[in-house]
Amino acid sequence: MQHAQPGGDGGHAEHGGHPFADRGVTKLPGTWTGRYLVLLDPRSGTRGLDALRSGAGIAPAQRVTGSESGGTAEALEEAGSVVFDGLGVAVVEAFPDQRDALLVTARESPAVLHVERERLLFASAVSPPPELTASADYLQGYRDGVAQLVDQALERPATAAGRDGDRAPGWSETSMTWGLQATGITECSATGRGVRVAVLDTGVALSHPDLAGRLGATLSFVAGESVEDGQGHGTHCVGTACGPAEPGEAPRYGVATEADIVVGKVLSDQGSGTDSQILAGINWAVEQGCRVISMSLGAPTRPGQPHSRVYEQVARRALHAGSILVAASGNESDRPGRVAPVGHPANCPSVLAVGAVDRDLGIAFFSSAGTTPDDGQVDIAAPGVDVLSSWPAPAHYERLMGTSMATPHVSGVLALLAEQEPEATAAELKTLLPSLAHRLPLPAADVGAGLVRAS
Amino acid sequence: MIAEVQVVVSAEPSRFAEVVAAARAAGLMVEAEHPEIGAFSGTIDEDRLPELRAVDGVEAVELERTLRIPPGETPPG
Repeated sequence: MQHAQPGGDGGHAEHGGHPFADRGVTKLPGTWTGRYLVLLDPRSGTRGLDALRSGAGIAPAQRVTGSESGGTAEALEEAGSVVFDGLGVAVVEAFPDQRDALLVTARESPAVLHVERERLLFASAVSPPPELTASADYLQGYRDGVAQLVDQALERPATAAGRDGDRAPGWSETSMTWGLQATGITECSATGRGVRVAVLDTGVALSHPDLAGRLGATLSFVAGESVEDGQGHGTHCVGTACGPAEPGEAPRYGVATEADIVVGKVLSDQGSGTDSQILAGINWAVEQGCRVISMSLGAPTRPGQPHSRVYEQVARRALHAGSILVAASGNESDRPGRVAPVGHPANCPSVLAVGAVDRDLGIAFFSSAGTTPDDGQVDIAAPGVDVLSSWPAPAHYERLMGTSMATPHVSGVLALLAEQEPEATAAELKTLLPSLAHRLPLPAADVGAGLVRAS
Repeated sequence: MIAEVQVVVSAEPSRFAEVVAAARAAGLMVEAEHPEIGAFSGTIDEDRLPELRAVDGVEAVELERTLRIPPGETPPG
């Protein structure tokens, strides 16, 4: 049976890997206005608006205090931009050619906490839309909507997801991939220093300029093939989990930038491997003292198929020995029509199963899930669409999608956690991780505890 | 002719060597041992699987699967 191929010719155009600023945002005709809601740091006075003016040419905003709703209407119509002083919120008009500059300026200015594209949703209770008339009712509803936005943003000040908004118009990847921003890596000072992370996959590009100096033990479990990655998948996963703080020619894409990288090649250059090879890789990684063993691999399962007792025992023993097994939940879904069960070995209860979310923090269309209570469950989700990471020469970098791309985000965050909690056992870290997750308004069957988050 | 199958086995780590030896006696051609995680693998005649599963200390015997990069994760073009 043919499924959608996330990176293939058929699916790529639709689900695409192109870094448009507004990718992943549902685009309905008439949903958006041309304005943006800007949450300003109240301690910074006019600096945020000054930055928007100088950086993006945003027109000066008229100040609105108290309940001057009439003045607000005029300002919106005439100047296009207003500031609600009491709320610390500005509504600014940005023409299409100013949008990118606005987002970049907002990101770079510490006086701007949050930018969100204005929706007509706020106005839906009071029609007609604001371009035509701005009634007092509309403005009252509008102000309530803004207040709600402020409440939501202030509830989650510590997370990058909160900063850019769950449905933000886009993620600027100037300095860091969207996945690192969405998982709070931006605010985390841990680097995974002193923590060993094993990636069991197709090997690694040994001479990749971002990785070559960081590689610890490497070993191939594939007969006749060296650990050199002839496929690319392993190099991509290694990069996401452990890529450097300052890559040569890309924004930062790696989570645990100072972790010790251990690479076991358990999948051939054609991308497949047997249970024996994978168990040999796990055994070796445990021997190597790896705190995290990242496995972006799997085999599809049928609904109701029991999990492997062998892998479940292996995962428990690895935990006792200090290693957490992390595995991709699988790409067999084709949502919304088909949701496939979590694959092997992610479906084992003691293996941490990772689902994928897209740039909109919605469930990725391909992400496998807990389809019945008795099947394997997803424990946590991570960015798995439009993920930039390392790739063998000559490309050096590539954007991919899949639960394989989500998995090393989780493995990297576990390495950060292991550094932060040096006394914690592997089992304790595995329990702690989901408790720190950023809750998402999505079914637990799809995303488990939510979006993985560094703290 | 009896088919030979590839299997993975989990065993109690506390008496790993003893269980592996007993599995051999039950007809398993042991190809790899992973004492750290209490697992080993090998080939066996399919009709002797019940014998292997009955070995004291063997927890689970499973036919070997092939695992892959999940579908759709290759770069475009």
